[in-house]
Amino acid sequence: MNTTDAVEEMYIEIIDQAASGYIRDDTRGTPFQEEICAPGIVFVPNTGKMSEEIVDEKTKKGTGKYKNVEIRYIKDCPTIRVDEQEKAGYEKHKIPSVDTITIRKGKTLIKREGDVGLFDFLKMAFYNQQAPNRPKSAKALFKVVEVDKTVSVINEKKFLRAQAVGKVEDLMIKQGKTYKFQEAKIDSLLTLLGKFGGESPAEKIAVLTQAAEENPELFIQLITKTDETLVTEINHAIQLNVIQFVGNSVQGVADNKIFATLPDDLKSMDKKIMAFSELLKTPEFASIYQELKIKIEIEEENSVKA
Amino acid sequence: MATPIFSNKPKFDQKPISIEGILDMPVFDVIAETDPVNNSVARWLGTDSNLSTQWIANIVHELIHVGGKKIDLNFFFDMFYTQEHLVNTKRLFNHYITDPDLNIYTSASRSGVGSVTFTLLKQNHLQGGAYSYPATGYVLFDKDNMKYYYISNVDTTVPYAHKVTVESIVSPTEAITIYENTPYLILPANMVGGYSCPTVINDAMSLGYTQQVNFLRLRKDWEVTIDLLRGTRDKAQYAYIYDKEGNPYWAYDLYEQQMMREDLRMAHNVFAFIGSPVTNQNLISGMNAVIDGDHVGYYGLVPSIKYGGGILKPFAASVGWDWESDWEPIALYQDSLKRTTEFMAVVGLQLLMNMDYRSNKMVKRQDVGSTMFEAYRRLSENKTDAGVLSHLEKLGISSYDYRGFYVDLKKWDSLSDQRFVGSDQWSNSMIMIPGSGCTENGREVSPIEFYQYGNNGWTGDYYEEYVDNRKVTRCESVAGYAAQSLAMKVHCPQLFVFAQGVADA
Repeated sequence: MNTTDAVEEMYIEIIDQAASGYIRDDTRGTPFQEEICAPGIVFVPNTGKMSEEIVDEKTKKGTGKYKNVEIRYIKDCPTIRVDEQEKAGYEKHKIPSVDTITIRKGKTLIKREGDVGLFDFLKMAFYNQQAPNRPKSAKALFKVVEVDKTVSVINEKKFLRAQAVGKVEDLMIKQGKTYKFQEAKIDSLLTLLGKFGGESPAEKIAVLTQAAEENPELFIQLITKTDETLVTEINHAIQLNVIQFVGNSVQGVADNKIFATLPDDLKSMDKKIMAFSELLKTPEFASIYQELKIKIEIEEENSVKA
Repeated sequence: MATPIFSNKPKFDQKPISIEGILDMPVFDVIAETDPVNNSVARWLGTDSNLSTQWIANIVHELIHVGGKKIDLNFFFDMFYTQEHLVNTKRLFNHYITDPDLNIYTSASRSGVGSVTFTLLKQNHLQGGAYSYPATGYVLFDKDNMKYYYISNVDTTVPYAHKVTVESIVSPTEAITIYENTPYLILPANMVGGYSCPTVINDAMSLGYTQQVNFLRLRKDWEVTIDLLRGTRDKAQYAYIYDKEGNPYWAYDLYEQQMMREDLRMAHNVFAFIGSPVTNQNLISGMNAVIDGDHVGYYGLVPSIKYGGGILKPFAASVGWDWESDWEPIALYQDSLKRTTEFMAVVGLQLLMNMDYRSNKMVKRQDVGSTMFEAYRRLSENKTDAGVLSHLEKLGISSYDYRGFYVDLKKWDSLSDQRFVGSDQWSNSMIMIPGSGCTENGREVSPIEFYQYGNNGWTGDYYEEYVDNRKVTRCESVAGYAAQSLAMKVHCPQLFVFAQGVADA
């Protein structure tokens, strides 16, 4: 809502909009089809109510309780509270059409400059869906659309998606006319996502790409985790049936040897893997880490032979 | 609303009931009341047949209708229906042109010395942003300051963001500012010298909107077994059934036929008032389709005004409709576009009362002898006794006339009939229908029109059939159905005004 030049602005839009069937001739059937969906002009009431915190007379502090106070838009009057206006000698304009508020074609941009009362009235009146402490019984006529925020969110999502798909691309390297795939990592990612990736690495990549596009945020989160060598290796070890998590302990699958005991409060597999990876970083677990790596290598060789 | 009359909690006195339901009523089986042993009263009072016979004997009246005025099921057509235009297609296209605005706006204020380049507001572009009104050689006029500029270049490279360069006609060093939110008039003619060669700039304006109108087809069926019509098990004491208007019926087939007609009419009326086309594809095509693409329906009166570019005037319901602060800005807006000055306004009672209240406050009532604005009038109940003026009459407003703008008010009872379409919201609403301004090739057309399709005598108009199933399926029942297609068009909703009281807290 705030702009860089510090002038507060609101982009407001009429809430009650719907299709009317009136489509502009030169746009029908095109991607930029323009349909009239709102009134041509809305004359917003210039009297209303807003919510205000009740101030304790003795302490001059807010009581946390609120009351509704009458407000009114008077053109070029800096205040909107009726009692303050009366105190300051402001009266509503003798010609009624002067104090008119209009919204053309369903939307308008209001800046808090010059006639600041207009901005304040539209911001605080209960006709505004986002007005503070608005009672449900009041009729909301318009809402504030945070353009910058909306655009930023859209951009952010687009960037995230591109980033996530890029991560999938990193899992394959083009060599001449063929691709080389980081199969172990692809498999561990599919396991983490709980997806079946198909038979060939190319199919698996297609599944991963789809997952990246569907939920880029989750995908990046997961792949970032697995990017960390230890986490990847632990996943890999699970994949190759080298280790398994039984309750709060990490055991070897073949010999049931307990590698580590994790805290009791870890419920999800993610958390257990992270905790185990943290343990493996410590000097005490250096030998276990070496053992794990050797076992993974052996299993990898076995799986290739098989 | 500020002062709700009706509760939002359902408290229905009556709900429609099926024939099966009536025949199987557990407590008050009106058909069997004359059987002293097996009637519902006997079930209340035990098996004492004397008591129940006495109870029945003491019911004096057969039927007293606790009701007000009959529900006006045909409320919309009674108000607006004149005739149907017969067409021979299943969909209609209405093409509208609005008056072109010959001004343009800049997207942001721009200043320069001698010349200035500004970006045209997005809305001033046409056809995917490729075209705009300004052209090199034209004149840009600052109307209010009586200043004009020569348009030296229009860069149309970026769609929806054409850049217009204007030059001072006073001096190459004049400071120029083109302000946002200010309309600048384009003069589409070139200034030339005594001898000139052609500079061809063709204008083609397409400012129209086209609306597709589809028909709505409604149908109602009924079927009654003949056994029900042959008589009841016992002597019927009361009329079995009553219709929506409280009329008693003694035979199910008559009742069902009448209900069929009423229900169809009632539904068409409500759709014409507040209906909108069906857009859910599951209902239009596929396995569970109930209609087809040609019968999705049309936009009713109020949705057409509210969403089709009409004038919307929400006003604080706690304050009431005010002819000065609420109406005059609308009149000025109408005047700025040179639109209709005559309206027929259909209004709910709540709005009328609030309007009277506000109107009575408009002029300060002064002492006797000065200019009087009569809000109340004292009248004698007894004409012969002029000294006793005990009858007080509050004066209401039935029309408003100011500076050539005329609004004729007509109370629309159904807006406040909460038994049917009325509600607090509608009772506090007003729909102003333009008296003029909607023209087709210069000829005035009615602002609301109805259409019917038909070809070679086969039309979608109201059709009713009665079938004796003994001759068809050999089952002992009679049946019937009625169906009707209809389309309605609200012409030029931009000319309509919809005023609505809204709660401010």
